[in-house]
Order: sequence, then C-alpha cells, then structure tokens
Amino acid sequence: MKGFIVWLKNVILGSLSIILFLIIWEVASRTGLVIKSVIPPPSLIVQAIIQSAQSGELLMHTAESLKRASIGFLLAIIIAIPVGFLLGTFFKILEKALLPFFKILEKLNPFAIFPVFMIILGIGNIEKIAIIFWVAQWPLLFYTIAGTKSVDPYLMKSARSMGANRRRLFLDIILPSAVPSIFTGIKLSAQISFFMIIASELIGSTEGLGWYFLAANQAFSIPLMYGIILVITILSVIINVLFSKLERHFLTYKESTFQVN
Amino acid sequence: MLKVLFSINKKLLSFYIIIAFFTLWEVAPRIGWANPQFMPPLSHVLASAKEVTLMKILLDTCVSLKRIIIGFTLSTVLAVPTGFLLGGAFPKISKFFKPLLSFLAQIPPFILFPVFVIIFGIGEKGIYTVILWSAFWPIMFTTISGVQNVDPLLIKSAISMGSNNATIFFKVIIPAALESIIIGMKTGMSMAFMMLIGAESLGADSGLGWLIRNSQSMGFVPRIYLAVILVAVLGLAVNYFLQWLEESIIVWK
Repeated sequence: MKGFIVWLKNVILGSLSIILFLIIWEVASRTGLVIKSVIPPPSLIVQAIIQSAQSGELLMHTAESLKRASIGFLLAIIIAIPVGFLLGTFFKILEKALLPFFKILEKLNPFAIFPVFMIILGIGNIEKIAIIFWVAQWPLLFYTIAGTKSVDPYLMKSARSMGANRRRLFLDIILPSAVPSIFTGIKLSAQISFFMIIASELIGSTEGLGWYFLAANQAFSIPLMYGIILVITILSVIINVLFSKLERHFLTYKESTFQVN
Repeated sequence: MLKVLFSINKKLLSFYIIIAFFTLWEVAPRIGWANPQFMPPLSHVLASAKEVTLMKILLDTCVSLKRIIIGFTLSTVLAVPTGFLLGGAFPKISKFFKPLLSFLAQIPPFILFPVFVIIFGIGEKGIYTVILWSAFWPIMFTTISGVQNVDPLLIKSAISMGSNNATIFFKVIIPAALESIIIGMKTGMSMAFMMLIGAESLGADSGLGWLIRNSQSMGFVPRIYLAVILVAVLGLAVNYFLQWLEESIIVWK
C-alpha cells in the first residue's frame, strides 16, 4: 500500500510540469497571447483527435504505418542479425574490409535516399518496407558484430581447452555474450524504424500517419495536425519504453561495459 | 618486400570495397543488371554535374552548409549554457522539468517542420528552427548529465586547494563535462544534418535537399544520384570537422 502511494506521488510530481505546461498553453492560446489559428489550445487538439478516432481514420492510418514498419523491422532482424554473427565470428577478414564501407552507407542521410527508393520501387508498401529494412538493418548489424567481438577471450580459450566444438562454442559462449548488445541494437533499430516510416510517409505516400499529417496540413486542419503530432510522439515514447524494458531484461546478467546512451 | 606489400594491402582493404562498389555502379546499368532508367551508370551521374552547372552545385552546397553551421552553432550556444544552468545551478528545477523536456525532445523534429512553417512562414526561418530544435535536445541533455556526473572528488580537492567558484567552474567542471557535451554535439549534429535534408526536401527553394526533390519531380534521374553523393560527402565532411574539433579541444585524452 505504501509503495503504491509513493509511486502515485512520483507520477503526480513527474507529470506536474507537463500539466503546468498544458495549462499555460491553453490559457495563452485562448486569450490570444499566441495566435489561436497558428497554435490552437490543447482542448481543441484533443477534440480533433477524438473526432478523428471516432471516424476510424486515425486507427486505420496508425495501423498502416505500424504494419509497414513492423514488417521492415522484422525482415531486418531476420537478415541482419545472422549476417552480423557470420561477419563477427567466421568471416573476420571480410568484416574488416566491409565495415568502413558499411559505416559510410549507414551515415548516408536517409532523407537523401528516399527518392532513390521511390524511383526504383515506386510509392507503395514494398518501397516503404524496403526503406525501413534499409535503415533498420544498420544498428542491428553493427551491434551484433560488436556483441560477438565483446566475448571474453578467456571464456573462449577455456571452452576450447575443455573440448568444445564449433557449434557448442557458438551456442553456449558467443551467443549469450552477444545477446545484450544485440538487444541494444534491436531497441535502436525499432526506434529508427518508426521514425523513418513517418518520415517516408511525409515525403511520398498515399496512406499512413505521415500522409495523414500532410493531408491535415494541406486542409489547414491545424488542431488535427497537432493532434497527429501528439499521437506520433506517444507511439514513439511507447516503443521507446517497451524496447528499453526488453533491453534491460537481457542486460541484467552482464555488466554493461559500455554506455552508449 | 613481400611483408611491406601485405601491410599496404591490409590498409587498403577498405578502399578496395569502395572502388569495387563504384565499379559495380558503373558497369551494372550498362550490362543490364540494373535498369539504366532508374539507376544510371556512375559516369552519367557525374556528367549531369555539367548540366546543373558547377556554379549551381556550389551554391546549393554552400546554402546547405551555411544552414547547418549557423543552425548548429546557435543550437550549441543555447543548449550548453542551459544545460549548465539546469544541471549545475538549479538541479531541482531540472528535475521538475525533466518529464516535460523529455517529452518535447521525443517529438520527431521533421513532423514539427510543417508546424514551424505555419508559425514562421515559408523560408529560412522554418529550416533554421528545425535544425535548432533537432540539435538542442541531445546537446542540452548530455550537458546536464555531464555536469551532474563530474567526479565530486575533483570538486572537493579543488575547494580544499582554495579555489573560488569561478576557478572551479572553468577549470574543473567544464573540462570534466566536455566529453559528455561533445558526444551530445555529435548526436545533435547527425540529427540536425538529417533534418536539414528532410526540411529542404519539404519546403525550401535552394540547398541540396531541394536539389534532390527538384530533380526527382522533374525526372532528371542522374541528378538525384549526384545530389545524394554530394549529401554523403557533405555529411562526411561535417562529421570529420566535429571529430577534429573534439580531438583539438580534448587534448588530455
């Protein structure tokens, strides 16, 4: 009971700043401190969201975006993690040769790459999934490789001297040591997948949250625009929190030797 | 002799792949592996540079460069002192505002770009605001954590050696927090650069992002690739600049 009260107190204290901010926003917008048509009050925004949710549009577009992002993300997991393992363990020379090239490819601005995908694959589900696959694979690849490299060499040597064959080495030594790093990569990959699906829909699409936002922009439905921003942010926060929990769950049995965040 | 050759070979390994990639790019469309309509050979891409005229290329590159440099510098100038104030001087306020600030920081910047355009009108202001916004949050947050993670032992030893507040700030806190700040700057720069191209694609009439968008809508396919290469080069250059900045400031590492 006491724990619950403490938790409740923390939640209220934490959200106090957000509530304060919303109140100030509401007042400033309604009294004309900021132009009402340009920055609408939160009450109007919430109204717009509810309207959109009731008509089912919001759900449809959200589902579309999430569907595309998930497929691309899963594809990336299925392909990039095994490739990362192969490069990190068995094909070390290939890895050394390819890594700088891959790093350059990763740094290539995705916004600049969108048009390339669009002219080759058109505007549709396949193109979106391809884009998500492209951006999602890099964190997975790099973190998997880093994970395989982080195996304690003494562990490897003792396992070998105890007569472990290659399969055993891989399943019992390398895989468990690499798992924490892999899940960090999974978290980053999920975040960037969601990020990019919205971005690519903004630039060229016919449905999905990003397109919905653009449509609201062109129809000058300003409260709806802000509402969609809110929905996108909340989704992004949820993904963040979910995957962080997942990552922490797998990180527990190993001291994290590097803090990336 | 053989040893020297081998060591040179090892170092050049990464370059081989790049050369192989560019060779493939040149050859594949010509022999039909890739549709030359959609993926023109490298020579065509480079030749289109003449069409666009070197002048225009330089102009667009400089415009993009100007936007990112000014936007990023402004962002740093705003974010670092704010981080210092919130992290060091007013930690309680920082704790109070943290949920709100974290929430604001999580809003994808490019989704805010149309909003900024509505508020500030079409033109440079919207782009600068997006760059400022994207870089501000990482830099501010890492500054706060950098300041808060300064080893208290260092501060205590400085106090016991009789330094006043100013000395402690400039000679202990700033150098100790610098590493964290620079990591934030790198993150901020990569975010800001991404947003630069995105914002230019959506609502600008000059710059590399605009060039990509324009070439795409007009159907000049080789130019798209040209602009992509330019963006990549610009990105690498900006990255190297930050790396050089880090190494010249943090000389004690």
